[in-house]
This record gives sequence, C-alpha cells and structure tokens, in this order.
Amino acid sequence: MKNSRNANVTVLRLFAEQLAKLILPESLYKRVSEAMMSNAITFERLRLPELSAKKRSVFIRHLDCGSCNGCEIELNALSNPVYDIERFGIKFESSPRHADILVMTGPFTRNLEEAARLTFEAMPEPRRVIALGDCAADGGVFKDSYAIRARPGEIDEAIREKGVYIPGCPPTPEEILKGILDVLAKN
Amino acid sequence: MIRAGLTEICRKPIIELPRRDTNELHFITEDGDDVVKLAKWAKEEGFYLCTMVANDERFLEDHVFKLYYVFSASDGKLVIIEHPLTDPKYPFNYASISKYFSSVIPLEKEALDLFGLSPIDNTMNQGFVLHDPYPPDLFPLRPRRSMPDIIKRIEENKTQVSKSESIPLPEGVLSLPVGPIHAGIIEAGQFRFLIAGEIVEDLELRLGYKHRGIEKLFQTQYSLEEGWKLAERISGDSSFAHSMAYCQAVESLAGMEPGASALHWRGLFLEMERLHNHIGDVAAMVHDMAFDLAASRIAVLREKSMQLNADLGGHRLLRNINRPGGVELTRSPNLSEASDRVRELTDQFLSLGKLVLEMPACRNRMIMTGVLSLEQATELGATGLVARASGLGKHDFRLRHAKGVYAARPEMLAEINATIESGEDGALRDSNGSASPTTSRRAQVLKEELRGDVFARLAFRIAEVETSARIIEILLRSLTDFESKQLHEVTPLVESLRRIASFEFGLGYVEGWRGDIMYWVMKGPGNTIFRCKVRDPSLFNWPALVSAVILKDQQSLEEGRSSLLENLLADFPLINKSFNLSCSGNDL
Ligand code: SF4
Repeated sequence: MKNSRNANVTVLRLFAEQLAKLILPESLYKRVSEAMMSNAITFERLRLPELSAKKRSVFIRHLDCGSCNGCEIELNALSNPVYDIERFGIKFESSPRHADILVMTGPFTRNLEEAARLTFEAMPEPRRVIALGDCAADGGVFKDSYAIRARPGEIDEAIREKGVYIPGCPPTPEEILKGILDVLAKN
Repeated sequence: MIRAGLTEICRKPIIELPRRDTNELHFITEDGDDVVKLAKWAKEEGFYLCTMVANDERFLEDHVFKLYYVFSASDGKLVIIEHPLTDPKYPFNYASISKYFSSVIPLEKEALDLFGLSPIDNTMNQGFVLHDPYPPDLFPLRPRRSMPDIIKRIEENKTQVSKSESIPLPEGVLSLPVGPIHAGIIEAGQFRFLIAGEIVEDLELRLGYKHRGIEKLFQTQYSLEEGWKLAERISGDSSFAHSMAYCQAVESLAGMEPGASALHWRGLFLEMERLHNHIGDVAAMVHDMAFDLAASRIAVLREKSMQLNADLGGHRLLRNINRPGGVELTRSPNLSEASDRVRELTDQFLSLGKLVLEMPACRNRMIMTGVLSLEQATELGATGLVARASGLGKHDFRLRHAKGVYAARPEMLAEINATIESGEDGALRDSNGSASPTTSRRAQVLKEELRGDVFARLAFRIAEVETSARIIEILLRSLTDFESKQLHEVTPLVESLRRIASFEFGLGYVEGWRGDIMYWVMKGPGNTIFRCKVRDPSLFNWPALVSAVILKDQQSLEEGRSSLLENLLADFPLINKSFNLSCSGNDL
C-alpha cells in the first residue's frame, strides 16, 4: 500500500517535470528546478496529534473588529507550511455563509458594529465564535476608549457558551490551533 | 539658510524659539497668510510634510487653538511652524496649505472630526474617523471632555444614520463597493470601485472603521512612562517602529539619549522588523501571482524570521522591548547563532526573489501594473518604500534624519545608500560590469526598479531585505563586543521629566519598514500626556495607492484608445499588496 502510494507520487512528479520542461524555456526550467530542488529550505512542521486525531473539518471566517493587525499576522501564519492548517481539515473561508466558526479579532469599535453584526447574522446555524487575542477578550489596551463598545449580547453569548477566548497579544499560531481544538472538544 | 528664507518670505523677522535638539527649528507665526506663503516656499525647496498637529490650548497660556506643522527639510533639519489661531473672527478656522501639500488633507480631516477645526472656506465633511454612530459635535480630543462624558454623549446620540445617496453613473459604468469586511484575513476598510468593463475608472476609499480613540487614550489613560504599551499596539506589523518613535519623543522631552548598547539593540530590532515584513509581503505578492511553489517557501522564511524575533527579543512581533530611556530584554540571546540564521534565511530568500523577478509569468503581471509616477509620488507626499520605488530614492529617514545608532555608524548608512544608488546609477545597472558580486546582485535586482510599478516595489523590497540583513550583521557583531551586553539598559527618566516644564513638546521619528513614523508628544502636568499625535506612513500612502490604481495616460485618453497604464479590477489585489498599507495605523 505504502509502496504504491510512493509510486504514484513519483509518477506525478515525473509528469509535472515533463510538463514544466514542455512549457518553460529550457534555461528557465533549469533555474526553477535548481532553485526548488537544491536550495532546500528545511523546517520543522508543527505536530499536533490531538488535532489530527479529531478527523473533523471546519471552515473558519475571520472578522476584524478593530484589531491592530497583529492577530491577523498570526492567523495568516497558520497557512504557512510550518503550521499548514489545512492538513487538519481546517480551512479559512471567504464568505460567512459557508463558515462554521467566526474568529473575531480586535476590541469591537463602534464604526464596525453594523458590519460585524451583519457578518455574524449571515452565518448559518450552528455557528461558533472564537474571540481571538486580549483585545477581543476585554478590550485590551483600548479598553476604556469612547470608540469601543460592548459586543452585541448574541455574539457574546455564542462565545461564552460554545466558543472560546484565546488570550495573548497576539496569541502564537500554536495557541490559536489549540484554541480551535478546544472549540471542537466543546461541541 | 532656512531662517533667512523664512524672513524673506514673510517680509518681516519671524519669531524663533530655541529647541534643545539643534536639528529642530521652531518658528511661530500668527498670520495665516504667512503660513500659506511659507508652505509655498517649502514646496519649492523640496520639503516633505511630516505632520500637522492640532492642539486645543484654550486653557493654557495662549487661550487659543494651535496648529503645529512639521516639515522635513532636505538638509537634515526639521522645521516646526507653530500657528496659533488668534483671529477672534475665526477661532476654529485656519488657512489651509493643501494647495501646496495635498498630504495635509487627511490630517485636516482628522482635525475636523476630533477638534472641530476646519480650513476657512471648508469643503470637507465630517466622518473621516468618526462615522455615523457619533454625534457631530463630539470633538473628543478637546482636553476638557472627559472619557465618561464623551461616552455618555455618544450613547445618547439619536441623530439618524444618514443613508448615502446614490450618485447617477454614466452608462456602462458600474459601482462596486468592496468591504469593510473582506474575503481574506485582512483589515477592515472599504474600497468603492467604479468599473467600466474590467477597467477601474475610479476608486474611492472609506476608512476609519477601526478608529479606537488612541489619541484620547494617550491623553487620559496612559502616563509618559507607560505610553509605549499603547504605541506598540497601533499597527501590529510596525510594533517596534511605533514604540521606538514614541520612546524617542519622550526621550527628546527629557533631553537625553539612551546608552550605546540600547541604541544598538533598537537598530537591530528595527531592521529585524523590516526583514520579516518585507519577506512576508513578497510571499503574499508571489502568492497572488499564483507562483505558489515559491510563495510557500518564502512564507517559511518569514516564519523563520519571526521565530528569530522571538528568540532574540522574546516576542514574535518584537513587543515589550522598548522603554522610554532604553530597552529591556528578558533573556540573553545567542548572538552568533542569530547571525548564522539571518545569513541563511536571507540567502535563500534572495535566490527565490531573483527567480520571481525573472519568471516571465510574474513579470507579465507586475510590469506596468499599478504605476505610481514620480510626479504623483512627490505631489501626494508619498513616503517610505513606495516613494523610493517611484524614484524618490533618498526619501529615507535613516538617511535624511539619521538618529541613534544610524548616526553613530556611517557604514550602515553606506549600505542603505548603496541600495539606492544601484537603482539610480545607470552604470551599475549593467550586471556584466566589473562591480563587486554583491553590488551586481543588487544592481540586477534593481535595474528596472525606478518605474514605480508593482515590479519596482517588489524589487525594492527584495533589495531592502539584503540591506537590512547586512545592517543586522554589523549590529550583531558590535553587540557581541559590548561586554555585559547590558540587557536592561534603561536610564530612568522620572527625574529629568520632572524638571521639564509642562506643555513642552518632543518629536520622535523612525523609518519603519513601511515609511517614516512621527510622534509629537506634549507633556501635561506631572507625568501625564497632554497630547500625543501619531502619524503612521499609511496615512500618506493611501491616496498614493488610489492614484496608482486609477492612473491613466493623457495621450491615450485623448486619442480614445485604452492605455497601457489602465488597471483591471483583477490587478487591484496585487497592487494593494505591493503597497501593503495599514488601516489601523490610519484610523488610530
Ligand atoms: S490582541 Fe494584541 S495583537 Fe491582537 S489585535 Fe489586540 S493589540 Fe493587536
């Protein structure tokens, strides 16, 4: 079984190489393959057996409620090969209508209230919400500002009952993955 | 030179106040016409507008509102023009300099929302940062309005949410609003496109969604010593540059400079921040050009540089390091290992970067896409990498206003200069010349860079990664030489701050990876902050992005054919990523 899979991979790779040879000019083909094969970038992939064992797939939608963009950097990092979030069956979705989980970052500004509410309402039930970062928990450093308001009760309830808070400023990608695991465990 | 110029322009001697820092010149004029005349002259001299600070000083000595303009002169001086609004007929109005410096417009819009100050013959509407949920006469930054008061007034506000009326569009033109909530993991802001077929005819930005009242928070909740906590959370990707600019402003108030090792640490982390952001941006752009094989490898390198941040500074985004008076590190990092890691990852990055620049499919997407011409960049007061990629090579505060370790280490400035010159100097652009291997590599990268298009910005990012890596190596080497490595080098400022009179102000400025960041901090009684004006580079570069997207060339327009410079809607994500501006830094 393992052998046949390896053979398949080899066939695919040979095919890709032939294709690349066909469509790329020769000098360029050489450059690309050299750069890709010889200049190997080694890295250690994060292992999270508990999450792999879940064997469930969830779609996540991100919602910026006034973050400093630090939390977004770490959310984006989840897609790089070190964390490779899709191997756990977790995918970032571009429409709230297809999402299972809403990840909210930032302290909830007044100017975004309407847009945030509409995004939440556009999600189908059952919907889960994750409050990501210290800002989303209690406002963080922006807590006492006039421009920040309390989240609508509905969303807050969704976080408390079946969602999670992931603390940190920003939480590391690993912490975010563990937070998603917690949501799966809760449901 | 500047003094004489100003006197001549105003036809009378202009009042000058002493500044502790000899690189700063401080003038006062009450006459609005003088300000406009000065602005005209400054434009001709090639000054760059750094910021305009509105301030409510009605309960201080002078009993008026004041504006402070800060210009960067080409000879390394910063010129501050203080303009009290003393005309009793117009206590809330001023003469605008937007005719000469259009970059002042977003700052004027802020002043309108937050202070209720507007130009005489104002045509602007409120709503730049305070949208509909806010009452129109809130003006939260006026110091007598307390936070609970402001909140109460917002909550009692019953004004109707105004529905924006739709403007009739010409036939065949479609309006397409995108945002404020976007499909990817990015910040909230709205783009309204007018498209004819696939071509973007016009683009209107609506920002301010992320307004968090930061300047009021500085005024009411943070002391001078603690303000860095807020500063480094204004724009997460520039955490270190923001906290550094804040700390410099407070240090300039206290009249001191941190010790040598602290300055070296700061330089090091500032360049590390540039490194990880530029690498991340290149990864995002390459991903958008569907060259995912390279994109994911570059993304690994970005991750590695962020891990290095954590190992050296204790935080992946380099937070919690800067303090007014120096730096505080929690661990003693392994510097020689760090140096190897930087070298390895930049080498790998540069070879991938070169590949991207040579791939025909990528070149096709990038060249002549999203052109910001030199004229437009100058006109709009664009800053940072965006301005440099459009040909304003020397527009770099590390060179223009070298401070801290940059002023102390000329070899670092030489590195930065080399990047710029390899782009400017035609001879060096030929990679077959006898230039040294590294110079020729840079030259190759930069040879087509001064066009101001997406390609130019990508090439410049790659070149700046190389420059930063070299500076990092220089700094790591000297930090190894410092004996104790002095991890906690913070000179206490409490004493020196107490000696400073209240209502003095200090300037802090840093060339972050996105452009120059400027802080203007006025001390209140005790160790309070009376006013802290933050100016992020995004504020000036958003209009530049619009201009790059809708640029048309006049000749083709007249001849009625579509021009090479027109951008398709599908080009926008790529152009946007090549600028990579911050909404949170703009909205405050
Ligand atoms: S929690 Fe921290 S990193 Fe996240 S948005 Fe708030 S300030 Fe930024």
